[in-house]
Amino acid sequence: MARLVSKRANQTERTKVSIADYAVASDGSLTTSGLGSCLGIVIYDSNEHISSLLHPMLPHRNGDSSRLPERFVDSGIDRTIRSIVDAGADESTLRAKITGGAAVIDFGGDDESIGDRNVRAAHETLSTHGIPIVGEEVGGDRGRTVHVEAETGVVTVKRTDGVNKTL
Amino acid sequence: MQIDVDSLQTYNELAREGAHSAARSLSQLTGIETRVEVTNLSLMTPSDLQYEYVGSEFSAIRIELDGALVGETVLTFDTDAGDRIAESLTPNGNEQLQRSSIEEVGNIMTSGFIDGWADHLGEVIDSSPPVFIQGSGMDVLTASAISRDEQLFVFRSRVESTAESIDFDILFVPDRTSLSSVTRPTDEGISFRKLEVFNSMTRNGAERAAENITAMTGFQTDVEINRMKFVPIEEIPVTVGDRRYVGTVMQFCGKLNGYLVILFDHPSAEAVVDALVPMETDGEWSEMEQSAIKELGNIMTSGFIDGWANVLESSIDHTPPTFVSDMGSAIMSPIVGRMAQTQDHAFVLDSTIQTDNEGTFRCEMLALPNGTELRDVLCDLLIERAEKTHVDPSEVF
Repeated sequence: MARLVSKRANQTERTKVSIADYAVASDGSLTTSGLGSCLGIVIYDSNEHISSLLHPMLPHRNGDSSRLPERFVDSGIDRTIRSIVDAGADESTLRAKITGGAAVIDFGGDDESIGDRNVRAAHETLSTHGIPIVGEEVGGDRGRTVHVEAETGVVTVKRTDGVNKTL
Repeated sequence: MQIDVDSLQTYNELAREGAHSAARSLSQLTGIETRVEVTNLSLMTPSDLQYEYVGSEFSAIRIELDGALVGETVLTFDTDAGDRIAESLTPNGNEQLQRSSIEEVGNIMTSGFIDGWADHLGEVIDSSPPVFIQGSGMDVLTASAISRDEQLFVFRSRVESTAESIDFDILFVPDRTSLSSVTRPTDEGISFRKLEVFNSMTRNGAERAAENITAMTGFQTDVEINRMKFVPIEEIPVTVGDRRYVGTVMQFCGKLNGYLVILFDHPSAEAVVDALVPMETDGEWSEMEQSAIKELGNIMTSGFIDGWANVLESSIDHTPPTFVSDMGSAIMSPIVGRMAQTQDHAFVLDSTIQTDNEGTFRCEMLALPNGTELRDVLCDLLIERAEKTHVDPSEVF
């Protein structure tokens, strides 16, 4: 469910991104909350002043076209890149920042957590597209809220343990 | 009278699309940008639905439906939001003019909501003229809807404005016979009665859990709201929200597998810990405090799950509780992630336990069973065992 906040929009316009959702904006801000094992993936073009925020919950869509692409890291990134390029970004100068991927619940066992698998999938998919990751705040066991300034791609991450980071 | 569970998914999607259409209509009429936050389908008693609106004054537009689908839609705004919408449509208009404008908005939004259903059914759905109502709790539904001795199917969408605090709910309460008649007949159908019975079993389980809270802490608690929701899997964290909670997560396994999440808001968790660990401790949620919360979670879970197991005549075990402290949505995120690997929608059995004095103590219990297994369990459910939720120790030991 992409939304492009137009240039006419109020500078304080805040576009909320839900789970399995993404948005592209050229001004105002993009925000998502409740990031546990899910990721907040920011892809932006600071020259064209346009940013996107994707909130996927699982790593791979595995070619199942019946499932919502934004739910998965790999297909969600593909879709988000198409949208931000359609909105005027230059694919060759895109940069990415990733947050989330926590293990808020310890389910026990030796399996790799969904959060870790999501982070790995984001690295792989962004690498395939040739998009460098220039900021990362991932892992741990705390939930996160993410705020993106659309014009600059500056990301503020607020963790529920009180730690705030700017990427 | 049966309902096909696969059709619930289609109807939930129709309700979601309808809510988007209604929200777009409002935006076009008023210039207020809105978005649909969540759409779900609940099976609940009329009193549970009304309880959700107790204590808040609202304005609403009620429209009754007839034809291919019988029922009623209610569009509820809190009073301030109603005033803002009326003001944007008829600036400086008198009260009568503003009321008429709200009715017209309700009419247009309801048309947007219902059109997708009519298209899907390929038939006509007739709407009554809009009726403006102001009230709280009991006024949400018509007397005829609440007088029936049956649980209601309630489609509910929460719509929020992006910039201003203009939030509203779209409720659609179809007549059950009518809903059943538009459901395609299949072998997979589950009787309404079985869904009702399972929902009542869950309430009984939550009541046992509430009794166990009282036994351990001395707080007089009761189950305030109980409902069985059918939700797109990614909307579950949104329904829990970003509020901070403390609690436990357990996995249950046996004939029915899934997760049980018990969440206390912070003041309630502190009250529980004070009652169980009457000594000063250092830091936030020390090991001793976490143990107290986990022990309470364990006892509540036993009360909740044993009732299910007794009715289903099958053992249901559960893992030791895991302590959690975070945003509700972040706690739900890894659970939903695990479930989303095999299902797109989920049943959520959602109970709220609180003290009689509202605000003193509040706890949410969310059971998320595996969808396919729940369907099998409902098919096999013997209605005559529904009252067997109270465990007789002589049957167990």
